[in-house]
Amino acid sequence: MPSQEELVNTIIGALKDLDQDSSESDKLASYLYIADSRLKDYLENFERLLQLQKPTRKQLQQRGKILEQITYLVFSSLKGVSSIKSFQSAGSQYDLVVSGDDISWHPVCKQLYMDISYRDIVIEAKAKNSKLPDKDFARLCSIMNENYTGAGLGIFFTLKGATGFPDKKSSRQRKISDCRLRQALFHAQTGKFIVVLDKDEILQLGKNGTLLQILTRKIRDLRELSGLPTVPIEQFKEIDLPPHLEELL
Amino acid sequence: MPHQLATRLGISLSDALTIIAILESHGYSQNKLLIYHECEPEVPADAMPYGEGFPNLPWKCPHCGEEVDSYDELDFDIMAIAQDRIEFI
Repeated sequence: MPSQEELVNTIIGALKDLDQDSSESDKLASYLYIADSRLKDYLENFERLLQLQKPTRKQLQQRGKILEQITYLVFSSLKGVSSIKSFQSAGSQYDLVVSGDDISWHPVCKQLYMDISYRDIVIEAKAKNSKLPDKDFARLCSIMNENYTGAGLGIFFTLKGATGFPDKKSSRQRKISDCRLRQALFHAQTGKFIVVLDKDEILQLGKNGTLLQILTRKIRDLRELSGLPTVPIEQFKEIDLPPHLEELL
Repeated sequence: MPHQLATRLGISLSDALTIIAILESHGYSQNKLLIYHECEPEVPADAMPYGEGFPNLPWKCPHCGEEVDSYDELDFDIMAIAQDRIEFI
């Protein structure tokens, strides 16, 4: 019987022939994210720090550091990653830049709607207790447009999401503003994507298969602008219907 | 399973898996991820839903009760159960 490595290689071969918008590619792509065994403990520590009512300065720093560590572990768990860096460049500090050069990175790029010429992913971890403001989003747009032009996808790991994005409790958005507007404009201008994960989504990343699923849902939603928050991973099917159609389910 | 389809049709494993994935998404088959443990390498120890990634570790083998914390001890395969007879033309 095939080992895990052998089955993943077969899956990589199969994904080449499948459309990234298809459910068959979504299901096969779930096998490309195998969560690092250390993630569970880091996520538990992270969750514990998030629950503190009045964290000290040291605890806030620790929270930021753990979020960066989680970011590293998450992306090093993705099949095909051959380069993973965090550095202060001449221009900017990059929290994390990941990329791959061999054949196993291609289906990941395809699944994430990245052109192979722009196959790097830039990730920023922001452990602030408020929503990501537009100036931070604009900064990443600038980095991806002018400094790190090889990146096709930008990802924010945040606690509370970003301004302008739909809240879980609010009704469907019919207008876009703030970071959500900048996200849509940036994509229209460059074809590149920037998505935002909040703490609830980050805490799901300890389970195998989740990362690509969350990212593809967010990327597809940018194309659709449904006005609703991203469907959680526990909800296997994404159903968005008016009441008179929903009653037929 | 992909290797059975590949052998019967004379195609690659990847192409066989592509076919199995498409059959499942169109409702012609139900797929599962089979898990094999080294305690009994020829008999699946468990099956989990298809399309939800590999089992998280540690994983407990239903055959021998061992708590497995390395994928090196496990093998995997994807099984497709056809709803009706399928003819490949």
